[in-house]
Amino acid sequence: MQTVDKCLKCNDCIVVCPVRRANPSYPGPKTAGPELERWRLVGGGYRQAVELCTNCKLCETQCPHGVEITDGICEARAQLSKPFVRGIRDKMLGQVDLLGQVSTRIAPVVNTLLGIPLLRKVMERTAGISAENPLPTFAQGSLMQRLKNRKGLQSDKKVLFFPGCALKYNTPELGLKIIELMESLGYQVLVPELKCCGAPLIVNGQMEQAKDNAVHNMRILKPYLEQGIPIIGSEPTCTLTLKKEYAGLLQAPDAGLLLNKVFDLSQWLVQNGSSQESTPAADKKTVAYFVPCHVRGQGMGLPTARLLKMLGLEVVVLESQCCGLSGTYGYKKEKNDISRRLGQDLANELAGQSYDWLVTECFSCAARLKQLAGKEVYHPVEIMNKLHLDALLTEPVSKKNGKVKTVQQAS
Amino acid sequence: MFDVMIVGGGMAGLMAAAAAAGENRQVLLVSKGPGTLYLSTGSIDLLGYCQQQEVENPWQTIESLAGTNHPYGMVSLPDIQEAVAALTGILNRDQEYYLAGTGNTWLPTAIGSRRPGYLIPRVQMAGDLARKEPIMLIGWPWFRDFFPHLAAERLRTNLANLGSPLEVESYQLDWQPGLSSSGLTAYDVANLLAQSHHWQALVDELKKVVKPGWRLGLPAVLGTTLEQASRMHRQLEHELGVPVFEIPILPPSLPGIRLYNALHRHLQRLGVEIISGSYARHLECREGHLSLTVEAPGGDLTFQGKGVILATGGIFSGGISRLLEDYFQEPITKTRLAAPAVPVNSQQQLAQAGLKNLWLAGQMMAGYDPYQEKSGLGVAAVTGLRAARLASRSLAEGGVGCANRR
Repeated sequence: MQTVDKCLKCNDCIVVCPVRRANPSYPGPKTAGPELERWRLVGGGYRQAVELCTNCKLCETQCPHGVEITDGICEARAQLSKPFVRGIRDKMLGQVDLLGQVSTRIAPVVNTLLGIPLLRKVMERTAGISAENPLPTFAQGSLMQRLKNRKGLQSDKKVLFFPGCALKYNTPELGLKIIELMESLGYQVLVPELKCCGAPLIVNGQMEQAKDNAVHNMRILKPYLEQGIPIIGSEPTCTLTLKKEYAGLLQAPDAGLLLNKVFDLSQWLVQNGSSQESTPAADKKTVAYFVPCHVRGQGMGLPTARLLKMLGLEVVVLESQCCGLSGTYGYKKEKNDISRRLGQDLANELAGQSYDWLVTECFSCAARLKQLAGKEVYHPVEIMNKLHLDALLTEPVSKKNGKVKTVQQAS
Repeated sequence: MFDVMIVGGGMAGLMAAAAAAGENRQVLLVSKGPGTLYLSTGSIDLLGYCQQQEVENPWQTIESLAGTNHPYGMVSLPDIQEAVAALTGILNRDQEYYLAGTGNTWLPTAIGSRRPGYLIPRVQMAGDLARKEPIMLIGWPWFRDFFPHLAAERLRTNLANLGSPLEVESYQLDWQPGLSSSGLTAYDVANLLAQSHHWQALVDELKKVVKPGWRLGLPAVLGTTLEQASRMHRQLEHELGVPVFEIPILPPSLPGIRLYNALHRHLQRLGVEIISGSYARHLECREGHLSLTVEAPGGDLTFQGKGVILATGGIFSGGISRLLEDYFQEPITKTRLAAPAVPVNSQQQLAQAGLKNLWLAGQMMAGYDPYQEKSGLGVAAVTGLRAARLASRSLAEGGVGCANRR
């Protein structure tokens, strides 16, 4: 963590830390990050407190001196010794990829079991997996399986789609919609078999395996990157991990190739879609947009808000920061209090807003929003489909690309 | 393509963005974060000292600066009045959260000295040292960011030395939020006080020490928004029956946070495109317009615009960097400087040859010392708004293109 000594202890970071807001006895980013990192670097050990960090990265967007606050927290977290059961639980929660691979094969069984309240209570008691937050349901058959026999668009313009575990295992239909949208823009969408980006491993203290995943993924991505093919991801945590952690925290070889090549889906759509704003529909719908922390962490503004405006929608950007689920964080029993309090702030804001549709692009935030608002939550691409307005961003494919033919999806 | 791209999220940048968006311009604001506004007292100082003399009425003294190379010297008095009115309008949109006297108001600091301010948060106003009611300063023994005994003793001494003695007492209140509270900041205390049982416990303790005819000074911990602070302040005055005022303390400084958030929210309402958390790195003229490169995690973002306003602050904020022992530079345009301040002409453009349609605002400008003068937020607001007006006028006159001037 080379930036540790740039910390001036100005306390700007404390003000955006969701954990500190919910629990003032958490030492906060300044202390858990640079201060304890200095202590750790001289062999002073680490503190259990770092485990409370959600890795939302809001502190880093706030820091006026570019201190990579969470790097030190993640490193320290990998060295924590945990009680036996909690250690096993965290190992398991880090394996989002493996859990998905298994569960999509026996989805009805897994979904039924995880839907039984009594079993959730037992899981909380025995394994420390919170019974308060809804666990995701798995799809029958993963996105990768569904893509095997799909005829995709062949084109000279190529993009590589990084679906991430959520689209692969939980909402593959949405994954297909995103691929169709990119194809409608005239792009051939490549979806090679990749491992989990590593983010759940990092926050669950499995730094070595996260590094292995990064090395593996970079080996596969390298030839595409060398051809100049951009990587598009729809899950903010995955894109942030590729953009920032591969070259930084995880030190993956060749990660420098990712520079300027990884795009958040909305960011890419706004850049590549038509810039002309649509005329507002007669009954202009209002969307409430919740900004995932890892969108803020990418320091690129709010491309989804911009995209929704381009679609002619009235956009209310919700002010609450951090929904309190934070990936696997909200599934840990000992974090129930913090998670609940953060959710309450968001629920209060939602209760005071009027809107037609609730939108976010992050899978985990969407689950939380649905729980708090009791309403359906949409991905921006689902909104585009809803409006049948994806045509707005599209020119006829034939104009852009003479030879339109369908071939087997590259993988 | 943006009409105006603004770099810097402090007072100058926020005011420039508000003014340009208010004229229906397409505005981009790029900032690393709230920076020094989060450290601010929340008061907007126009001019507190001039040539080491206390300024009673800033308007009169500012008039005497006309024609000098002080930033106030190159703007007109109506420019300053317009900026103050615009800022007041934004802040007092819902309620009168900010007040101004005819001249400067002198307020107590956390270490018992005096500070001047012009546009003052209403919740600080009862601290006015021109008022005659004796002052009771309140703290908590576990709170490390405010020491009422120190503040009271020094305030008593300072006022006596000035020949206007005032009775000042201090009291360490027996109020505990019940946590291991040694590391709590003002921000944490504000969050705790938002819970009704903590608030009621504090009010009950305050009732025990309050004396009729006195006024009560608290460290600034009343709420994280202007609305919340105002509501809690009114409630305190109502329940205690005496005037109450906040004293800004160490960061995170709530009066500064409230000020920043109010301005930021205003920009969101105006539809300003805000890139926050990233660094603007490079500006150049490309194909007849200005191209701004922003370094974000994972790569560069590039934006095109017709005009640019730089409001990146002084050497402490990274608006100016030191190259060698005796050389400085403005890092975005790579302008070489002999001193850590950028010389500008009367149109707030680089004094040396530079890009057309580039204006500067705020603390990076040469010709003044915001720390000695206590003029920081005032100069920032005034030059920020004026830069936006100059940019807007230039665009209206068809002044697109960005080739070098001279």
